[in-house]
Amino acid sequence: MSHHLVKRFSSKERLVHWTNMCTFIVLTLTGLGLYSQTFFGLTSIFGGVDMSRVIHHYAGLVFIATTFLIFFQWFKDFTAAGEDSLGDVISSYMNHDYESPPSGKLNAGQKLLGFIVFSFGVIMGLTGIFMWFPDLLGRGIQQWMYFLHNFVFILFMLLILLHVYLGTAASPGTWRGMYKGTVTKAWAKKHHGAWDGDEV
Amino acid sequence: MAKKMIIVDTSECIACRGCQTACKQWNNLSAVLTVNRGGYENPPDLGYNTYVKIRFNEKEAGGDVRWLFGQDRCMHCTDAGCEMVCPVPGAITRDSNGAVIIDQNLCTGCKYCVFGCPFDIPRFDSANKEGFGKNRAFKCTMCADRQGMGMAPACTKTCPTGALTFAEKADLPDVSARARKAGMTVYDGDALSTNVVFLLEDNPDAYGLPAKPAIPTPAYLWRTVMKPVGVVAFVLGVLAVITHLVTVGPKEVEEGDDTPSSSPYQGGGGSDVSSPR
Ligand code: HEM
Ligand code: SF4
Ligand code: SF4
Repeated sequence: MSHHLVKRFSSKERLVHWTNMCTFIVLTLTGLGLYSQTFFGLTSIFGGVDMSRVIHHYAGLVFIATTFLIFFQWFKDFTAAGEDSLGDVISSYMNHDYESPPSGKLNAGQKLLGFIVFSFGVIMGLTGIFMWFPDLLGRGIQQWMYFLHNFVFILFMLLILLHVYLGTAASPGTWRGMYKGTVTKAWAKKHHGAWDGDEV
Repeated sequence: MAKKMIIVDTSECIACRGCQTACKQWNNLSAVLTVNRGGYENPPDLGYNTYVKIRFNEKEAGGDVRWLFGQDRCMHCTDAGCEMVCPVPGAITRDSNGAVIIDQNLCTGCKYCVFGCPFDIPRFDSANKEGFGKNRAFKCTMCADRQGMGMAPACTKTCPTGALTFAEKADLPDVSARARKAGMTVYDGDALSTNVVFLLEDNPDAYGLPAKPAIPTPAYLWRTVMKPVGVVAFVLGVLAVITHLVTVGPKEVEEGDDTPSSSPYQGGGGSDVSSPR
Protein backbone atom coordinates (compact mmCIF):
# COMPACT_ATOMS: atom_id res chain seq x y z
CA MET A 1 0.00 0.00 0.00
CA SER A 2 1.85 2.99 -1.22
CA HIS A 3 -1.14 5.33 -1.36
CA HIS A 4 -0.31 7.96 1.20
CA LEU A 5 -3.11 10.46 0.93
CA VAL A 6 -3.88 13.55 2.93
CA LYS A 7 -7.37 14.97 3.47
CA ARG A 8 -7.58 18.45 1.95
CA PHE A 9 -11.22 19.46 1.60
CA SER A 10 -14.38 17.97 3.09
CA SER A 11 -17.22 16.96 0.81
CA LYS A 12 -19.28 19.90 2.09
CA GLU A 13 -16.48 22.34 1.22
CA ARG A 14 -16.13 20.82 -2.23
CA LEU A 15 -19.88 20.88 -2.90
CA VAL A 16 -19.94 24.62 -2.13
CA HIS A 17 -16.97 25.25 -4.41
CA TRP A 18 -18.44 23.15 -7.24
CA THR A 19 -21.77 24.94 -7.05
CA ASN A 20 -19.96 28.26 -7.14
CA MET A 21 -17.92 27.14 -10.15
CA CYS A 22 -20.92 25.84 -12.10
CA THR A 23 -22.96 28.99 -11.48
CA PHE A 24 -19.97 31.09 -12.53
CA ILE A 25 -19.87 29.31 -15.88
CA VAL A 26 -23.63 29.61 -16.35
CA LEU A 27 -23.50 33.30 -15.35
CA THR A 28 -20.70 33.99 -17.79
CA LEU A 29 -22.52 32.36 -20.70
CA THR A 30 -25.96 33.82 -19.96
CA GLY A 31 -24.44 37.21 -19.01
CA LEU A 32 -22.49 37.52 -22.24
CA GLY A 33 -25.62 36.69 -24.23
CA LEU A 34 -27.43 39.51 -22.43
CA TYR A 35 -24.54 41.94 -22.89
CA SER A 36 -24.25 42.66 -26.55
CA GLN A 37 -25.47 41.77 -30.00
CA THR A 38 -22.00 40.30 -30.63
CA PHE A 39 -22.68 37.50 -28.13
CA PHE A 40 -26.43 37.32 -28.65
CA GLY A 41 -26.11 33.80 -30.12
CA LEU A 42 -25.26 32.47 -26.65
CA THR A 43 -28.84 33.10 -25.53
CA SER A 44 -30.00 30.25 -27.77
CA ILE A 45 -28.15 27.74 -25.54
CA PHE A 46 -30.53 28.67 -22.76
CA GLY A 47 -33.69 28.89 -24.84
CA GLY A 48 -33.78 32.57 -25.71
CA VAL A 49 -33.19 35.95 -24.12
CA ASP A 50 -35.99 35.79 -21.60
CA MET A 51 -34.89 32.39 -20.32
CA SER A 52 -31.24 33.53 -20.25
CA ARG A 53 -32.24 36.48 -18.12
CA VAL A 54 -34.23 34.38 -15.64
CA ILE A 55 -31.39 31.85 -15.38
CA HIS A 56 -28.83 34.63 -14.96
CA HIS A 57 -30.79 36.22 -12.13
CA TYR A 58 -31.34 33.03 -10.12
CA ALA A 59 -27.92 31.55 -10.82
CA GLY A 60 -26.62 34.92 -9.61
CA LEU A 61 -28.36 34.43 -6.28
CA VAL A 62 -26.86 30.94 -5.88
CA PHE A 63 -23.48 32.29 -6.92
CA ILE A 64 -23.48 35.07 -4.37
CA ALA A 65 -24.69 32.71 -1.63
CA THR A 66 -21.89 30.23 -2.35
CA THR A 67 -19.39 33.09 -2.60
CA PHE A 68 -20.22 33.96 1.00
CA LEU A 69 -20.09 30.30 2.06
CA ILE A 70 -16.65 29.90 0.49
CA PHE A 71 -15.37 32.98 2.23
CA PHE A 72 -16.61 31.85 5.62
CA GLN A 73 -15.73 28.17 5.34
CA TRP A 74 -12.12 29.04 4.50
CA PHE A 75 -11.89 32.30 6.41
CA LYS A 76 -9.49 30.76 8.94
CA ASP A 77 -7.19 29.62 6.15
CA PHE A 78 -7.41 32.92 4.26
CA THR A 79 -6.34 34.83 7.36
CA ALA A 80 -3.77 32.33 8.70
CA ALA A 81 -0.21 33.62 9.09
CA GLY A 82 2.38 32.16 6.74
CA GLU A 83 6.09 32.46 6.03
CA ASP A 84 5.70 32.77 2.28
CA SER A 85 4.90 36.00 0.47
CA LEU A 86 3.04 36.63 -2.77
CA GLY A 87 6.40 37.27 -4.42
CA ASP A 88 7.61 33.83 -3.32
CA VAL A 89 4.56 32.17 -4.86
CA ILE A 90 4.97 34.00 -8.15
CA SER A 91 8.70 33.27 -8.27
CA SER A 92 8.13 29.59 -7.58
CA TYR A 93 5.82 29.37 -10.60
CA MET A 94 8.14 31.38 -12.85
CA ASN A 95 11.27 29.46 -11.89
CA HIS A 96 11.13 25.87 -10.65
CA ASP A 97 14.49 26.20 -8.87
CA TYR A 98 13.26 29.02 -6.68
CA GLU A 99 13.51 28.20 -2.97
CA SER A 100 10.29 29.46 -1.41
CA PRO A 101 9.63 29.32 2.33
CA PRO A 102 7.10 26.53 2.91
CA SER A 103 3.44 27.51 2.67
CA GLY A 104 0.72 26.58 5.11
CA LYS A 105 -2.57 25.00 4.00
CA LEU A 106 -2.93 27.89 1.57
CA ASN A 107 -0.09 29.85 0.03
CA ALA A 108 0.03 33.66 0.01
CA GLY A 109 -1.47 33.85 -3.47
CA GLN A 110 -4.41 31.63 -2.55
CA LYS A 111 -5.15 33.74 0.51
CA LEU A 112 -5.15 36.89 -1.58
CA LEU A 113 -7.39 35.19 -4.14
CA GLY A 114 -9.84 34.39 -1.34
CA PHE A 115 -10.27 38.07 -0.54
CA ILE A 116 -10.36 39.28 -4.13
CA VAL A 117 -12.90 36.68 -5.21
CA PHE A 118 -15.10 37.61 -2.26
CA SER A 119 -14.91 41.33 -3.10
CA PHE A 120 -15.57 40.71 -6.78
CA GLY A 121 -18.47 38.44 -5.89
CA VAL A 122 -20.01 41.12 -3.69
CA ILE A 123 -19.57 43.80 -6.38
CA MET A 124 -21.06 41.53 -9.06
CA GLY A 125 -23.96 40.73 -6.74
CA LEU A 126 -24.67 44.34 -5.80
CA THR A 127 -24.40 45.76 -9.31
CA GLY A 128 -26.34 42.75 -10.58
CA ILE A 129 -29.23 43.38 -8.19
CA PHE A 130 -29.41 46.98 -9.41
CA MET A 131 -29.43 45.75 -13.01
CA TRP A 132 -32.20 43.35 -12.11
CA PHE A 133 -34.23 46.24 -10.66
CA PRO A 134 -33.00 49.20 -12.71
CA ASP A 135 -35.37 51.74 -11.21
CA LEU A 136 -34.03 51.59 -7.66
CA LEU A 137 -31.20 54.08 -8.17
CA GLY A 138 -31.09 57.42 -9.89
CA ARG A 139 -30.28 57.50 -13.58
CA GLY A 140 -26.75 58.84 -13.14
CA ILE A 141 -25.68 56.10 -10.71
CA GLN A 142 -27.51 53.31 -12.51
CA GLN A 143 -25.50 53.99 -15.68
CA TRP A 144 -22.35 53.17 -13.72
CA MET A 145 -23.82 49.88 -12.46
CA TYR A 146 -23.75 48.43 -15.98
CA PHE A 147 -20.20 49.57 -16.46
CA LEU A 148 -19.07 48.20 -13.09
CA HIS A 149 -20.77 44.82 -13.57
CA ASN A 150 -19.01 44.56 -16.89
CA PHE A 151 -15.63 45.86 -15.77
CA VAL A 152 -15.43 43.64 -12.71
CA PHE A 153 -16.63 40.72 -14.83
CA ILE A 154 -13.60 41.15 -17.10
CA LEU A 155 -11.21 41.24 -14.12
CA PHE A 156 -13.05 38.28 -12.56
CA MET A 157 -12.81 36.26 -15.76
CA LEU A 158 -9.05 36.88 -16.00
CA LEU A 159 -8.56 36.00 -12.35
CA ILE A 160 -10.54 32.78 -12.66
CA LEU A 161 -8.63 31.87 -15.82
CA LEU A 162 -5.43 32.13 -13.79
CA HIS A 163 -6.99 30.27 -10.86
CA VAL A 164 -8.14 27.40 -13.07
CA TYR A 165 -4.75 27.18 -14.75
CA LEU A 166 -2.89 27.10 -11.44
CA GLY A 167 -5.30 24.51 -10.09
CA THR A 168 -4.94 22.17 -13.06
CA ALA A 169 -2.27 22.23 -15.76
CA ALA A 170 0.26 24.39 -13.90
CA SER A 171 0.48 22.15 -10.86
CA PRO A 172 -0.41 18.51 -11.45
CA GLY A 173 -2.07 16.80 -8.51
CA THR A 174 -3.88 19.89 -7.28
CA TRP A 175 -7.17 19.18 -9.04
CA ARG A 176 -7.44 15.97 -7.05
CA GLY A 177 -8.04 18.04 -3.91
CA MET A 178 -11.14 19.57 -5.41
CA TYR A 179 -12.27 16.40 -7.15
CA LYS A 180 -11.60 13.69 -4.55
CA GLY A 181 -10.95 15.84 -1.50
CA THR A 182 -7.55 14.26 -0.97
CA VAL A 183 -4.03 14.97 -2.22
CA THR A 184 -0.90 12.87 -2.21
CA LYS A 185 1.61 13.32 0.56
CA ALA A 186 4.31 14.23 -1.94
CA TRP A 187 2.08 16.96 -3.36
CA ALA A 188 1.40 18.35 0.10
CA LYS A 189 5.09 18.38 0.93
CA LYS A 190 6.00 20.11 -2.31
CA HIS A 191 3.30 22.79 -2.37
CA HIS A 192 2.36 23.25 1.27
CA GLY A 193 5.38 22.21 3.29
CA ALA A 194 4.25 23.91 6.48
CA TRP A 195 0.79 22.32 6.36
CA ASP A 196 0.16 19.36 8.59
CA GLY A 197 -2.86 17.65 7.01
CA ASP A 198 -4.53 14.52 8.31
CA GLU A 199 -3.54 11.33 6.57
CA VAL A 200 -6.36 9.14 5.33
CA MET B 1 -34.82 58.10 -49.29
CA ALA B 2 -33.30 61.33 -48.16
CA LYS B 3 -32.99 62.17 -44.52
CA LYS B 4 -35.81 64.12 -42.96
CA MET B 5 -36.09 66.28 -39.89
CA ILE B 6 -38.75 67.65 -37.59
CA ILE B 7 -38.17 71.28 -36.72
CA VAL B 8 -39.56 72.51 -33.41
CA ASP B 9 -39.72 76.30 -33.52
CA THR B 10 -40.43 77.12 -29.90
CA SER B 11 -41.20 80.76 -30.68
CA GLU B 12 -44.30 79.64 -32.57
CA CYS B 13 -45.57 77.16 -29.99
CA ILE B 14 -48.71 78.20 -28.11
CA ALA B 15 -48.88 74.99 -26.06
CA CYS B 16 -52.21 73.90 -27.47
CA ARG B 17 -50.92 70.32 -27.20
CA GLY B 18 -52.50 69.36 -30.51
CA CYS B 19 -49.34 67.35 -31.19
CA GLN B 20 -49.88 65.26 -28.06
CA THR B 21 -53.39 64.45 -29.15
CA ALA B 22 -52.58 63.80 -32.80
CA CYS B 23 -49.77 61.45 -31.74
CA LYS B 24 -52.10 59.48 -29.50
CA GLN B 25 -54.70 59.31 -32.22
CA TRP B 26 -52.43 58.14 -35.04
CA ASN B 27 -50.51 55.67 -32.90
CA ASN B 28 -53.66 54.46 -31.19
CA LEU B 29 -52.27 55.19 -27.72
CA SER B 30 -54.46 55.01 -24.66
CA ALA B 31 -55.17 58.09 -22.55
CA VAL B 32 -53.53 58.64 -19.19
CA LEU B 33 -55.70 59.37 -16.17
CA THR B 34 -54.08 62.33 -14.42
CA VAL B 35 -54.79 64.68 -11.56
CA ASN B 36 -54.75 68.47 -11.43
CA ARG B 37 -51.26 69.42 -10.40
CA GLY B 38 -51.91 73.14 -10.48
CA GLY B 39 -50.71 73.77 -14.02
CA TYR B 40 -51.50 73.12 -17.64
CA GLU B 41 -48.67 70.71 -18.22
CA ASN B 42 -50.14 67.24 -18.51
CA PRO B 43 -49.52 64.29 -18.32
CA PRO B 44 -46.61 64.53 -15.85
CA ASP B 45 -44.19 62.46 -17.93
CA LEU B 46 -43.69 60.61 -21.18
CA GLY B 47 -44.97 57.05 -21.01
CA TYR B 48 -45.25 53.85 -22.98
CA ASN B 49 -48.46 55.42 -24.29
CA THR B 50 -47.25 59.05 -24.47
CA TYR B 51 -44.57 59.72 -27.08
CA VAL B 52 -44.64 63.54 -27.03
CA LYS B 53 -45.39 66.00 -24.32
CA ILE B 54 -45.32 69.78 -24.23
CA ARG B 55 -43.26 71.01 -21.34
CA PHE B 56 -44.25 74.30 -19.70
CA ASN B 57 -40.96 75.79 -18.60
CA GLU B 58 -41.32 78.82 -16.44
CA LYS B 59 -38.59 81.42 -16.28
CA GLU B 60 -38.45 84.56 -14.22
CA ALA B 61 -36.87 87.63 -15.73
CA GLY B 62 -37.12 91.12 -14.24
CA GLY B 63 -40.13 90.34 -12.08
CA ASP B 64 -41.93 88.82 -15.04
CA VAL B 65 -42.65 85.18 -15.60
CA ARG B 66 -42.07 83.84 -19.08
CA TRP B 67 -43.40 80.58 -20.41
CA LEU B 68 -40.96 78.72 -22.60
CA PHE B 69 -42.75 75.87 -24.30
CA GLY B 70 -40.59 72.89 -25.06
CA GLN B 71 -41.36 69.43 -26.30
CA ASP B 72 -40.25 66.16 -24.70
CA ARG B 73 -39.77 63.53 -27.38
CA CYS B 74 -37.27 61.20 -28.97
CA MET B 75 -34.72 63.29 -30.85
CA HIS B 76 -33.97 60.59 -33.45
CA CYS B 77 -30.22 60.82 -33.00
CA THR B 78 -27.94 59.89 -35.87
CA ASP B 79 -25.50 58.64 -33.21
CA ALA B 80 -28.10 57.02 -30.99
CA GLY B 81 -27.18 55.88 -27.49
CA CYS B 82 -30.25 53.67 -27.25
CA GLU B 83 -29.22 51.77 -30.36
CA MET B 84 -25.64 51.48 -29.11
CA VAL B 85 -26.58 49.73 -25.88
CA CYS B 86 -29.47 47.57 -27.06
CA PRO B 87 -28.29 43.93 -26.81
CA VAL B 88 -30.95 42.43 -29.08
CA PRO B 89 -30.24 42.42 -32.83
CA GLY B 90 -32.94 44.34 -34.68
CA ALA B 91 -34.79 45.65 -31.62
CA ILE B 92 -33.66 49.23 -32.30
CA THR B 93 -33.07 50.20 -35.90
CA ARG B 94 -32.80 53.32 -37.96
CA ASP B 95 -34.51 53.78 -41.30
CA SER B 96 -33.21 55.67 -44.31
CA ASN B 97 -35.22 58.77 -43.33
CA GLY B 98 -33.31 58.95 -40.07
CA ALA B 99 -36.07 57.65 -37.77
CA VAL B 100 -34.90 55.50 -34.84
CA ILE B 101 -37.46 52.77 -34.25
CA ILE B 102 -37.98 50.22 -31.48
CA ASP B 103 -39.54 46.90 -32.50
CA GLN B 104 -41.56 45.77 -29.48
CA ASN B 105 -41.74 42.25 -30.89
CA LEU B 106 -37.97 41.93 -30.47
CA CYS B 107 -37.41 44.13 -27.40
CA THR B 108 -36.92 42.05 -24.27
CA GLY B 109 -37.39 44.75 -21.65
CA CYS B 110 -33.88 45.06 -20.24
CA LYS B 111 -34.19 48.86 -19.99
CA TYR B 112 -30.60 49.38 -21.15
CA CYS B 113 -31.81 51.86 -23.80
CA VAL B 114 -33.09 54.46 -21.36
CA PHE B 115 -29.69 54.50 -19.67
CA GLY B 116 -27.92 54.88 -23.00
CA CYS B 117 -30.17 57.72 -24.13
CA PRO B 118 -28.80 61.23 -23.53
CA PHE B 119 -32.35 62.57 -23.27
CA ASP B 120 -33.97 59.96 -20.97
CA ILE B 121 -36.64 59.08 -23.53
CA PRO B 122 -37.71 55.41 -23.75
CA ARG B 123 -40.51 54.40 -21.39
CA PHE B 124 -41.60 50.90 -20.42
CA ASP B 125 -44.91 49.06 -20.43
CA SER B 126 -44.46 47.58 -16.95
CA ALA B 127 -47.92 46.04 -16.73
CA ASN B 128 -47.87 44.62 -20.29
CA LYS B 129 -50.88 46.68 -21.32
CA GLU B 130 -49.90 46.53 -25.00
CA GLY B 131 -49.51 42.76 -25.05
CA PHE B 132 -45.90 42.62 -26.28
CA GLY B 133 -44.58 41.50 -22.89
CA LYS B 134 -43.49 43.09 -19.65
CA ASN B 135 -41.36 46.25 -19.80
CA ARG B 136 -41.23 46.51 -23.58
CA ALA B 137 -39.76 49.88 -24.60
CA PHE B 138 -41.81 52.54 -26.38
CA LYS B 139 -41.04 55.95 -27.79
CA CYS B 140 -41.75 58.25 -30.73
CA THR B 141 -41.29 56.53 -34.10
CA MET B 142 -41.05 59.78 -36.10
CA CYS B 143 -44.17 58.30 -37.69
CA ALA B 144 -42.05 56.01 -39.83
CA ASP B 145 -45.24 54.29 -40.93
CA ARG B 146 -46.75 57.55 -42.18
CA GLN B 147 -43.48 58.55 -43.81
CA GLY B 148 -43.49 55.22 -45.64
CA MET B 149 -46.80 56.26 -47.18
CA GLY B 150 -45.49 59.67 -48.15
CA MET B 151 -47.14 61.49 -45.26
CA ALA B 152 -45.65 63.86 -42.69
CA PRO B 153 -45.55 62.85 -39.01
CA ALA B 154 -48.91 63.33 -37.30
CA CYS B 155 -47.66 66.02 -34.90
CA THR B 156 -46.27 68.20 -37.68
CA LYS B 157 -49.41 67.69 -39.72
CA THR B 158 -51.65 68.86 -36.91
CA CYS B 159 -49.61 71.75 -35.50
CA PRO B 160 -51.74 74.87 -36.21
CA THR B 161 -49.06 77.52 -35.78
CA GLY B 162 -46.16 76.11 -37.74
CA ALA B 163 -44.13 75.40 -34.60
CA LEU B 164 -43.67 71.85 -35.85
CA THR B 165 -42.60 71.37 -39.44
CA PHE B 166 -41.33 68.42 -41.38
CA ALA B 167 -38.45 69.12 -43.73
CA GLU B 168 -35.48 67.73 -45.61
CA LYS B 169 -32.45 67.35 -43.35
CA ALA B 170 -30.42 68.89 -46.15
CA ASP B 171 -32.17 72.18 -45.47
CA LEU B 172 -30.74 72.40 -41.96
CA PRO B 173 -27.98 74.93 -42.81
CA ASP B 174 -30.51 77.33 -44.31
CA VAL B 175 -32.97 76.87 -41.45
CA SER B 176 -30.19 77.39 -38.91
CA ALA B 177 -28.90 80.50 -40.59
CA ARG B 178 -32.36 82.05 -40.62
CA ALA B 179 -33.02 81.10 -36.99
CA ARG B 180 -29.68 82.49 -35.81
CA LYS B 181 -30.37 85.73 -37.62
CA ALA B 182 -33.61 85.96 -35.66
CA GLY B 183 -31.59 85.55 -32.45
CA MET B 184 -32.53 81.94 -31.75
CA THR B 185 -30.39 79.02 -30.60
CA VAL B 186 -30.29 76.01 -32.92
CA TYR B 187 -30.28 72.77 -30.96
CA ASP B 188 -29.44 69.71 -33.04
CA GLY B 189 -27.65 67.55 -30.47
CA ASP B 190 -24.16 68.59 -31.64
CA ALA B 191 -22.23 65.42 -32.47
CA LEU B 192 -25.35 63.29 -32.01
CA SER B 193 -26.83 65.07 -35.03
CA THR B 194 -30.46 64.67 -34.02
CA ASN B 195 -33.17 64.56 -36.66
CA VAL B 196 -35.42 66.58 -34.41
CA VAL B 197 -34.07 70.12 -34.35
CA PHE B 198 -35.14 72.71 -31.82
CA LEU B 199 -35.08 76.43 -32.45
CA LEU B 200 -34.90 77.89 -28.97
CA GLU B 201 -35.57 81.37 -27.64
CA ASP B 202 -33.30 80.85 -24.67
CA ASN B 203 -30.44 78.55 -23.75
CA PRO B 204 -31.10 74.77 -23.71
CA ASP B 205 -31.11 74.62 -19.88
CA ALA B 206 -34.17 76.83 -19.77
CA TYR B 207 -36.00 74.16 -21.76
CA GLY B 208 -34.74 71.27 -19.67
CA LEU B 209 -32.46 70.13 -22.50
CA PRO B 210 -28.88 69.05 -21.75
CA ALA B 211 -26.52 71.89 -22.70
CA LYS B 212 -23.90 69.48 -24.02
CA PRO B 213 -25.84 66.44 -25.24
CA ALA B 214 -23.71 63.32 -25.54
CA ILE B 215 -24.04 59.59 -25.05
CA PRO B 216 -23.54 59.11 -21.29
CA THR B 217 -19.88 58.37 -20.47
CA PRO B 218 -20.56 55.19 -18.45
CA ALA B 219 -22.73 53.80 -21.26
CA TYR B 220 -20.01 54.57 -23.80
CA LEU B 221 -17.33 52.93 -21.63
CA TRP B 222 -19.55 49.97 -20.88
CA ARG B 223 -20.35 49.11 -24.48
CA THR B 224 -18.00 50.73 -26.95
CA VAL B 225 -14.81 50.57 -24.91
CA MET B 226 -15.11 47.52 -22.65
CA LYS B 227 -16.26 45.07 -25.31
CA PRO B 228 -13.02 45.04 -27.32
CA VAL B 229 -11.00 45.50 -24.11
CA GLY B 230 -12.63 42.41 -22.61
CA VAL B 231 -12.15 40.27 -25.69
CA VAL B 232 -8.50 41.30 -26.10
CA ALA B 233 -7.81 40.82 -22.38
CA PHE B 234 -9.27 37.31 -22.49
CA VAL B 235 -7.26 36.32 -25.57
CA LEU B 236 -4.06 37.73 -24.04
CA GLY B 237 -4.83 35.88 -20.81
CA VAL B 238 -5.18 32.57 -22.63
CA LEU B 239 -2.00 33.24 -24.60
CA ALA B 240 -0.12 34.07 -21.39
CA VAL B 241 -1.26 30.81 -19.82
CA ILE B 242 -0.22 28.79 -22.86
CA THR B 243 3.13 30.58 -23.00
CA HIS B 244 3.78 29.77 -19.36
CA LEU B 245 2.80 26.16 -19.87
CA VAL B 246 5.15 25.57 -22.81
CA THR B 247 8.10 27.64 -21.58
CA VAL B 248 8.31 27.45 -17.78
CA GLY B 249 6.04 24.42 -17.60
CA PRO B 250 4.08 22.92 -14.75
CA LYS B 251 5.32 22.73 -11.18
CA GLU B 252 5.65 18.97 -11.01
CA VAL B 253 5.61 16.90 -7.85
CA GLU B 254 8.49 14.46 -7.60
CA GLU B 255 6.98 11.00 -7.66
CA GLY B 256 7.89 9.28 -4.44
CA ASP B 257 6.92 5.98 -2.87
CA ASP B 258 3.86 7.59 -1.44
CA THR B 259 2.51 8.76 -4.77
CA PRO B 260 0.08 6.49 -6.55
CA SER B 261 1.72 6.27 -9.97
CA SER B 262 -1.48 5.04 -11.59
CA SER B 263 -3.47 7.99 -10.36
CA PRO B 264 -5.09 9.91 -13.20
CA TYR B 265 -5.17 13.00 -11.00
CA GLN B 266 -1.43 13.11 -10.79
CA GLY B 267 -1.05 14.73 -14.19
CA GLY B 268 2.39 14.31 -15.73
CA GLY B 269 3.71 12.48 -12.68
CA GLY B 270 6.91 14.44 -12.69
CA SER B 271 9.45 11.72 -13.43
CA ASP B 272 11.25 14.21 -15.67
CA VAL B 273 11.88 16.67 -12.84
CA SER B 274 15.46 16.53 -11.64
CA SER B 275 15.77 17.76 -8.10
CA PRO B 276 13.15 17.25 -5.40
CA ARG B 277 13.16 19.79 -2.63
C1 HEM C 1 -23.87 37.62 -8.16
C2 HEM C 1 -24.98 37.84 -8.66
C3 HEM C 1 -25.25 38.39 -10.01
C4 HEM C 1 -26.39 39.04 -10.32
C5 HEM C 1 -27.55 39.28 -9.38
C6 HEM C 1 -26.30 39.45 -11.70
C7 HEM C 1 -27.28 40.16 -12.37
C8 HEM C 1 -27.16 40.61 -13.66
C9 HEM C 1 -28.15 41.32 -14.35
C10 HEM C 1 -29.49 41.73 -13.78
C11 HEM C 1 -27.71 41.56 -15.59
C12 HEM C 1 -28.46 42.27 -16.70
C13 HEM C 1 -29.12 41.23 -17.50
C14 HEM C 1 -30.46 41.63 -17.88
O1 HEM C 1 -31.32 41.77 -17.01
O2 HEM C 1 -30.64 41.78 -19.08
C15 HEM C 1 -26.43 41.01 -15.72
C16 HEM C 1 -25.66 41.07 -16.84
C17 HEM C 1 -24.44 40.43 -16.97
N1 HEM C 1 -23.83 39.63 -16.01
FE1 HEM C 1 -24.48 39.36 -14.13
N2 HEM C 1 -25.13 39.04 -12.22
C18 HEM C 1 -24.45 38.37 -11.22
C19 HEM C 1 -23.22 37.78 -11.32
C20 HEM C 1 -22.51 37.69 -12.49
C21 HEM C 1 -21.28 36.97 -12.62
C22 HEM C 1 -20.60 36.22 -11.51
C23 HEM C 1 -20.89 37.08 -13.91
C24 HEM C 1 -19.70 36.53 -14.62
C25 HEM C 1 -18.87 35.76 -14.12
C26 HEM C 1 -21.84 37.93 -14.60
C27 HEM C 1 -21.76 38.32 -15.91
C28 HEM C 1 -22.64 39.17 -16.53
C29 HEM C 1 -22.47 39.70 -17.85
C30 HEM C 1 -21.29 39.45 -18.77
C31 HEM C 1 -23.60 40.50 -18.11
C32 HEM C 1 -23.91 41.28 -19.39
C33 HEM C 1 -23.98 42.75 -19.13
C34 HEM C 1 -22.65 43.36 -18.81
O3 HEM C 1 -21.61 42.75 -18.99
O4 HEM C 1 -22.66 44.51 -18.37
N3 HEM C 1 -22.83 38.27 -13.71
N4 HEM C 1 -26.10 40.42 -14.52
S1 SF4 D 1 -33.30 60.57 -28.18
FE1 SF4 D 1 -32.80 58.74 -27.00
S2 SF4 D 1 -34.33 57.25 -27.65
FE2 SF4 D 1 -34.31 58.87 -29.21
S3 SF4 D 1 -32.81 58.16 -30.75
FE3 SF4 D 1 -31.70 59.46 -29.31
S4 SF4 D 1 -30.85 57.98 -27.86
FE4 SF4 D 1 -32.50 56.92 -28.91
S1 SF4 E 1 -35.44 47.55 -23.37
FE1 SF4 E 1 -35.77 46.66 -25.42
S2 SF4 E 1 -35.21 48.25 -26.88
FE2 SF4 E 1 -34.41 48.88 -24.89
S3 SF4 E 1 -32.28 48.09 -24.91
FE3 SF4 E 1 -33.52 46.50 -23.95
S4 SF4 E 1 -34.11 45.11 -25.63
FE4 SF4 E 1 -33.35 47.02 -26.57
